[in-house]
Amino acid sequence: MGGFLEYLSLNWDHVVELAIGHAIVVAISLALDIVIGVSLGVLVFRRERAANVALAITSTFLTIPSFALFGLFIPIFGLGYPPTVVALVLYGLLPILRNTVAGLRSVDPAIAESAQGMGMNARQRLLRIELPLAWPVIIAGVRVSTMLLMGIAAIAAIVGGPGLGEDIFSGLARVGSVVALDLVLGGILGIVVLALLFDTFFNVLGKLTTSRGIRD
Amino acid sequence: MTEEAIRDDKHTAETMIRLENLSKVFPAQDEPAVEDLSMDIYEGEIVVLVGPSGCGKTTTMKMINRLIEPSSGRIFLEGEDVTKVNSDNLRRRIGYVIQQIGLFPHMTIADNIATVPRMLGWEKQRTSDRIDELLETVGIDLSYRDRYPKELSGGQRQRIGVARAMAADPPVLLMDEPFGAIDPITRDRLQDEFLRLQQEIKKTIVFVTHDIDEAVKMGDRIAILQQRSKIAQYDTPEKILTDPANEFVQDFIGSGPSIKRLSLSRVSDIETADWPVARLTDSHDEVRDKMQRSGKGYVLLLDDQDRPRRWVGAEDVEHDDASLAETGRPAVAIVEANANLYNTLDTMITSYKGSAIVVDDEDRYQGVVDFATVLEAIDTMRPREQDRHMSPPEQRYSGTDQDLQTGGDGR
Repeated sequence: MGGFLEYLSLNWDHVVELAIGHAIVVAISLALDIVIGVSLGVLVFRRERAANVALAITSTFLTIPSFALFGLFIPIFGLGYPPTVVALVLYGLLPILRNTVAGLRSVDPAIAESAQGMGMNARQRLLRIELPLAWPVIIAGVRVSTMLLMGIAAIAAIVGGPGLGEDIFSGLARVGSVVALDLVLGGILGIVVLALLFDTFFNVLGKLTTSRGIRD
Repeated sequence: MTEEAIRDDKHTAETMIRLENLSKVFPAQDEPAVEDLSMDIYEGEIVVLVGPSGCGKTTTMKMINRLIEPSSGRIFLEGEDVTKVNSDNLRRRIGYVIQQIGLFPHMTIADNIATVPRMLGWEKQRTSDRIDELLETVGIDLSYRDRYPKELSGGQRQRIGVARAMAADPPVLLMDEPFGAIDPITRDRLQDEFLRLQQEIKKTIVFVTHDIDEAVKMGDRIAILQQRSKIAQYDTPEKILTDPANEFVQDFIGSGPSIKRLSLSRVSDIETADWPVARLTDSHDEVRDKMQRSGKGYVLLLDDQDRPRRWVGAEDVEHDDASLAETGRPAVAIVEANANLYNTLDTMITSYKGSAIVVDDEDRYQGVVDFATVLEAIDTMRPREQDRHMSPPEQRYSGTDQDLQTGGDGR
């Protein structure tokens, strides 16, 4: 254990640099997931068949082994950020889309009807009533996606993507050597810490942006 | 002015809403939900659409603000054909209250009420003043402005629902079973409150219910609807109860139409009986004296604010040592002057000595009603009833047909 701490203090700057790259690529992918997932959810939640198709496709993405998907994207997107972000966006869609659809569908029809009866048009109903009411459920989906992407982003190292996967893979490549375990442990620890930080961030954001009237 | 005269006045009132040959066929349904319905709704009246479930009453109401678009026919609001105008703009001119109330749970009470004024682009100050005014009107403390719907009781939510519907002062309110989800005691109180409120605001109200008792209580005019919203009878509650147009109406009114008619008269409309009263602070001699002079055997004791406190009989004041505040029986069976005779009779039946004490809205003593006074009131209603039974049936029905036509039946 003492050895690991010594390794960390010697390689601190390197680990932090990788962690920042990891955080950035996950943040970009999550942002795109929120935009795409929520918009798609808004489009399909009233249409049973469209919603089922969208959910089926996004859950199919999750069944593709990440190692294979990253590899498949090299000929199309090259190396580095592009294939990483595309793959992460595909993996992170399902929880956000599913929760957006579930959240919007859980809005009491009586509330939607009284909004309509008071003369709110479809856009006003969506922005002022339906999305704010679905928001806690959507945020819960975002938190699940965050956890998912944190782990999968480590695999991005095989396409030269940024992040803590680099140390994990180089450690695994040198199994048996002195630093192998330290490299892998450092990468895992970094991912766990990042995941906790992101989760706390979304937890606090969710609390701040959810009306007191619908908080428990 | 008597209630009868007020109702008659309304015949000359302006038409606020006119439905012309309105029909609705829902896709994938063979039968129309509403078929060729025509009716006029007059300004300042509460018109109740009542009928069995599935008769199309809610569909009819939702066509007025076009939450359901009619398949054919026309809708006029204040003389203007609104069948094809922008439906969102139309709805901002029509207040809407539904059974589930549908307050926005993520908005404060103030924001809920401000919904329509904000859409109409009112100034901030004007909206804020209006919120205060409405909260006062519906009897909710101003400290509730920044609370959320979940912090309110069912009755309070219902009041806020009404306040929200009235926010931009629309000439018309649509109410779909607005008291349906509320416990019977609160419902009764809210109905009374709403009727009192209507005295001030004089809105044109279309009110949907399946409950004929509620219809009789709330309606200036009742439209009893059969399947496909066919009007079985459209008339005042009195006329419907005394002179049902056909068997359907008769069945729908159910048993005891005469008893139900008692709910149309208020205690304030009848003479209260003379009853000896004394003060808690009076001496026993004075009380005994009043009892003897009235010959009633019982005296009602009031406190210093005229509130009825106790009934005392001769044996209760025999001994000077018994304090007047503790002797006799507590004065229960109290009704407000605006209570209807049906409820009053109910109170009397369960009361001691079969009488009810009438108070004003600040609980001050107004008089006593007993069975004799109620019977007298019933007697004044009865001649009309006897006339009806003596007239031959053909005549009755022809008369009713005419009523129906003036009521706007589109046959």
